[in-house]
Amino acid sequence: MIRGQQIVLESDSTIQMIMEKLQSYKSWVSLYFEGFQYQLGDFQLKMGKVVPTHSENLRGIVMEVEYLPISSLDKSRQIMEDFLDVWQETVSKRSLPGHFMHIEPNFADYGLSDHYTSQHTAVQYATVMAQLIATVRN
Amino acid sequence: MGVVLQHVEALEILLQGLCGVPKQRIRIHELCLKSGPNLGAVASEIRLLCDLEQPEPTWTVRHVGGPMRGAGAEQLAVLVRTMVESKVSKNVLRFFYALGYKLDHELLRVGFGFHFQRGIRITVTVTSVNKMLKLHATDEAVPVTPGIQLVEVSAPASSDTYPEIVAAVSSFCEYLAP
Repeated sequence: MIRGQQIVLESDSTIQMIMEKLQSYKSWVSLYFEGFQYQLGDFQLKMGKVVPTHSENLRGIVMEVEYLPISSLDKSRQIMEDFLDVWQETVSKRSLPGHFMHIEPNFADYGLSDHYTSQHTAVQYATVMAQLIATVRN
Repeated sequence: MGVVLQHVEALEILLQGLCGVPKQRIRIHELCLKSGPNLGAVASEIRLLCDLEQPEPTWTVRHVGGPMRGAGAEQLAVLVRTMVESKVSKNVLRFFYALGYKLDHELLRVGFGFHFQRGIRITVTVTSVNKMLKLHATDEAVPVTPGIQLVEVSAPASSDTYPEIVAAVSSFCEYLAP
């Protein structure tokens, strides 16, 4: 992805080796997202910790929520917001440190449509990463 | 190696006989991009391949390393190079332009190919290499070497297997020698 120019490129994993061989860009920050996947009825949740690669310093916790029956962003918006409200309320009762932030990128800026794809996921993770990097810097 | 146009049909019949499977048509638009000034410590080159034979054109990005050098390499009858490829979405040209790469040249390769499985997978392609008179105008391409087509014999290898692959490719080429 190139966030500044809002371009999302889909490729094989070998693209990473190609970029390393080109040597035109060097890796600056590398974050590792690792966790578990849960199924709750029609909802699929991925919950994981975010650490810099080769480190155990926790940078944050990421939660990915997917409502499986609907692929349209607009049509699923209400039910996703309802789920998030329930989640925030449940979490606040446990008095855990920190809070969950929902960041919604403008997918249209990237030329992505209402139909959710893996490219949308890439944009979301890039947005989350930018937020995590900014949080540490501040 | 090159083959004169009038012998292409004979070569095709020979390859068909050796292969036993129909040929694959090739029509590939190859764009060679080079890094702009001040991009990275060293100059770099990347190739974008658009397969125009498919109903919907598909794109591949390919990085080819320099040929293997040294005393060992000089004794080899074939060229050994590193190559890494990735299938990519069709916005790849825009992506690499955004990274600072510029179009150096583009070609259209038209011809046919055969895949042979003889312990190792060997690919033989016979193509005319064409240049475009106008930017990206693949319908108006003219041969770079009129009357001569390029024959390429290649096989994938890893760092441990390349000596046997080199031997297999060399011996296969003997079938093609005129």
